[in-house]
Amino acid sequence: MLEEILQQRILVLDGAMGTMIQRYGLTEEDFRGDRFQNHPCPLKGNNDLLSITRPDIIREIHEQYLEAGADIIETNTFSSTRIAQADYQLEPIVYELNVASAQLARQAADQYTSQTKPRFVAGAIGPTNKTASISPDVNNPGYRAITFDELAEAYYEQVKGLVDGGVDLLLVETVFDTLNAKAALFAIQQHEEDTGRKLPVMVSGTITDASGRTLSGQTTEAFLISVSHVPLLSIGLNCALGAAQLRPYLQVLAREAPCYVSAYPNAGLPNAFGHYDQSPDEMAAQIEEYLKEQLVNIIGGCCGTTPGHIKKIAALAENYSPRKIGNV
Amino acid sequence: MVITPASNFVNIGERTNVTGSAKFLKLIKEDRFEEALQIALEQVRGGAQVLDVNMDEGMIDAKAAMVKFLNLMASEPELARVPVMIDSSKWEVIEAGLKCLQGKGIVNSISLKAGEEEFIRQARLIRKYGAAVVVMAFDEQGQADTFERRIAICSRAYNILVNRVKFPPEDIIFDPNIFPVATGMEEHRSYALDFFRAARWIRENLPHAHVSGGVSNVSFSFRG
Repeated sequence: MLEEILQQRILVLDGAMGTMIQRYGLTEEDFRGDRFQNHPCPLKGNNDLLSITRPDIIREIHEQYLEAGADIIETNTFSSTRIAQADYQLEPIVYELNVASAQLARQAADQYTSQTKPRFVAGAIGPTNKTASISPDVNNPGYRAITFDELAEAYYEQVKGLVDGGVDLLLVETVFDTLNAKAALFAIQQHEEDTGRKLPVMVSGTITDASGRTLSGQTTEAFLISVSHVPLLSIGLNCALGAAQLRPYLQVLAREAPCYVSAYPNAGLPNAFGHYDQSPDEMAAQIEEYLKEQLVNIIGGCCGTTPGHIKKIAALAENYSPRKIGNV
Repeated sequence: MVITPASNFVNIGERTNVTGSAKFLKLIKEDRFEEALQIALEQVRGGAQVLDVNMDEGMIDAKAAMVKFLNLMASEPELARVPVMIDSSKWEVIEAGLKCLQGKGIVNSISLKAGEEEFIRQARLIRKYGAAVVVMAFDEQGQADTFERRIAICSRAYNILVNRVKFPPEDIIFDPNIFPVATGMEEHRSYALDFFRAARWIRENLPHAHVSGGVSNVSFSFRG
């Protein structure tokens, strides 16, 4: 069904989760809830945990994006691997965290699904906070803080939780090191083999700056080639840059990719305080350039974007036809 | 690094190979990896478009050396842009190497030497790691040394890979064995011709598959 719709129109992805959570001004107590009252380390900032301790808030944010017109919402699981959760000593609940987040998004999406506008849930799989291709020790360039096997194992656990929780597709996102992404894709393929359940897979990389490369040094084209062994629903770019800065790299994917193309840029570049202040209208005007050029099949927002941004983008996307596959 | 139909030969740098370079072997054995990395750099600056890395030597922990060298290569921008050919006769070394490559690599090599089941298992894993593969013209009976044996083994391997493993044919590279010429032995006299005929046959009959050859073997009989 997803593929049929993608042939007809541009699908809209939701916007930032973290930006929205910040607006609630939550305290350590909110993050802990009753269950983690006596947890040995601080939990404030562990946004993924809110799917268990403040599910009402996460549900509300999902609903705001659905209300704004998002066709696909992302689960609140950007850091729900045992590697990222180790910072909070919450490795034991990682599977549960993914199931809970997937179920929350599932319920919200189902509530808004109609005959004419079905809604989908993408299981968000973040990069983790460790990198398999780069040494964190400047004096020892051959050192690695994490191995492929550790990543693949952690991702497998996350994928299992997301699939068991009922997501429609999997989104390997904010890829700053393609080897991390390859470990996630390895885990996804392993999970498919083990369970016989095959979900569409989206991959979204991050070009960190005007050098046009990922953090681990790949160009957009190298990134595309490096993940092309998996049959992908879509490949795209998100985060780090605003819509205007992302455009040249998106053009590469639009030209070369044998699958659908996605983009969810930040709301411009951060200001001196690290905040994003590009308005929905400003961002939509830049996104409209993508649409005119037919660069994308799936469009949404990353850091700094809100339901206001997504509403503008969704309204625009209705007026344009999607990028066509098959001209490569 | 993008190879297109307009590209001519793809040159594979072979000096980062302990079985081919005494200098590289010595540096690896003495744990002088930084200097060994210079050999890789020289190869790339000299025009190598792919680097073959081989650590198979009795005195070396091949798996550890492979991982260490590939990780160091990844940290050097001039090298990181070049695809790596992971060269080993040991599967565990190949697999450990595949886990270090963020880009698309090439496995050198697999064959039907240990039977179909193992061949399929390895091919499936290579696919999951996202690499291309060199397939040697080798089967349960041994290495192919005639034209007929070469094409029989290559077409059998091709059919298994493409039809059963769903391996993309453009990611298969056959190595139909270059043997030494001018050995003076009567039974070796058609070696060179057989290789060329096999290479042509593969290009004509196994769609999208590529051919590679270890040209250095040709000169074995000329060594003093």
